[in-house]
Amino acid sequence: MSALVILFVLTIGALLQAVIPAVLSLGQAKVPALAAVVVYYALVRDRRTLLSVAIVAGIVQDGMGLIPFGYSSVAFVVLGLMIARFKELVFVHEVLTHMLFGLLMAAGATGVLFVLLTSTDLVEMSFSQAFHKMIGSALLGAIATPFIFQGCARLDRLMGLVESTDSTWQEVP
Amino acid sequence: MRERTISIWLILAVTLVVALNLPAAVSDRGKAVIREFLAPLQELVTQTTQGVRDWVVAVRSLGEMALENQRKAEELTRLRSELRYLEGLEQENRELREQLGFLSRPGRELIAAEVIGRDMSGWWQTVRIGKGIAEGVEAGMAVVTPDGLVGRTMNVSAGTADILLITDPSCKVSGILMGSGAHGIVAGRGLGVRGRPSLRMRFINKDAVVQIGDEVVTSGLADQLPRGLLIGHVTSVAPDESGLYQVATLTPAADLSRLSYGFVVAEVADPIERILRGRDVNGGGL
Repeated sequence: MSALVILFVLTIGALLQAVIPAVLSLGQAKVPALAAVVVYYALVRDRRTLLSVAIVAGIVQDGMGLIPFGYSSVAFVVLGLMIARFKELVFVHEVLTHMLFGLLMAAGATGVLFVLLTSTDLVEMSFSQAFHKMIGSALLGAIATPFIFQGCARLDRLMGLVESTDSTWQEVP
Repeated sequence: MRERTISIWLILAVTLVVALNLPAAVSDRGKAVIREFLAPLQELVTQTTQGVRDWVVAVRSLGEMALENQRKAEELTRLRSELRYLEGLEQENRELREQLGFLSRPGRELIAAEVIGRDMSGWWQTVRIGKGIAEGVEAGMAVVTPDGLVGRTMNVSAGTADILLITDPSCKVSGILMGSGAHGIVAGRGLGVRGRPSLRMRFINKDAVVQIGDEVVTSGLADQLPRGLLIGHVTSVAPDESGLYQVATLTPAADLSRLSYGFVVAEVADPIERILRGRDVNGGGL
């Protein structure tokens, strides 16, 4: 059941990312819907599930565009694991937490992809353009992640995959 | 339990390494599968939003419709008369070429395609169309609108194809200035903050006379694009850093910001040529 829910969430995330146009004034940044899904799994679920989601989300993102397979997965895995390290120290259910980690994930993923894509000559982009894009992605990440987090959480609760308490989220054993 | 956890981590690590080192053919096939899976959903959402947008535009511009209709009718009449004139010229051209023993040029077939999405990563300027190998689309084909060149196809799957727009810095096209006949390489410069697209034409002969407003068309050299497709118009020109060439800034002829459909230009062999080739293969003679 969990795998089906993950597949559904990733499909919706990919669709959102594909149809919402890039924001020109934000360095042509796209709404990081798949990155936001990874943030949710990093904060709420165990590391094994997080890793699976990060790899598949990356493959879906790369598969939909021109990025070589695996690049986004590397970014999502590294950043997802970093976020998971802090989940015991933050209020997982707070919107501010979602905004902060959404911001960091989106900016970080853009930075990692910039390094990978320019080092392999796949993209012609100056550092200032990349910085503009990172700021834009961070902003969109901070806005989009709370909504996507809530959507994922509701779906997981509906399917009985997690149960929420006042201060923490616990996975159903 | 510990062994099981280690083996799961190992599987995930191997998956990542394999994904990073996939051969191009396998990677392309994998991408095609993902695109084909999401394409119907993407098309549905795009069509719905486009329908709503069209409806809003139609309501807003009800008053202007009659005027627009009249203008379109006039344009249609003019284009029909031009077409008749060109058909006569084509016939004459074909007869002359046959008399001189030249092979006829390949014809062009336009495959109409609707835009179903834009690049989801935001790193390139691409759009996705809902036509692919099944409709005769191949990688490297030119894509045009009635205004001019839009880009070229790449990553073609059974029912979809990605178009790398001419405004992308990695899209390079061999161009020719209609005024002076000078050649150059046209590449995208991306979009400005206000969304104004521009192109740069480099390696123009330093002695060539380039004027503002000059048309630039595809030269048909060095790439798969056919000759004579309008790329854009010159907005400024200056010598390059080395002083050996000139660099011109162009505005694309096609409006790429509102792209909702395009035509893939497929070159098809002339029917007469096909018959002649068939005769050669079969040993000639009727």
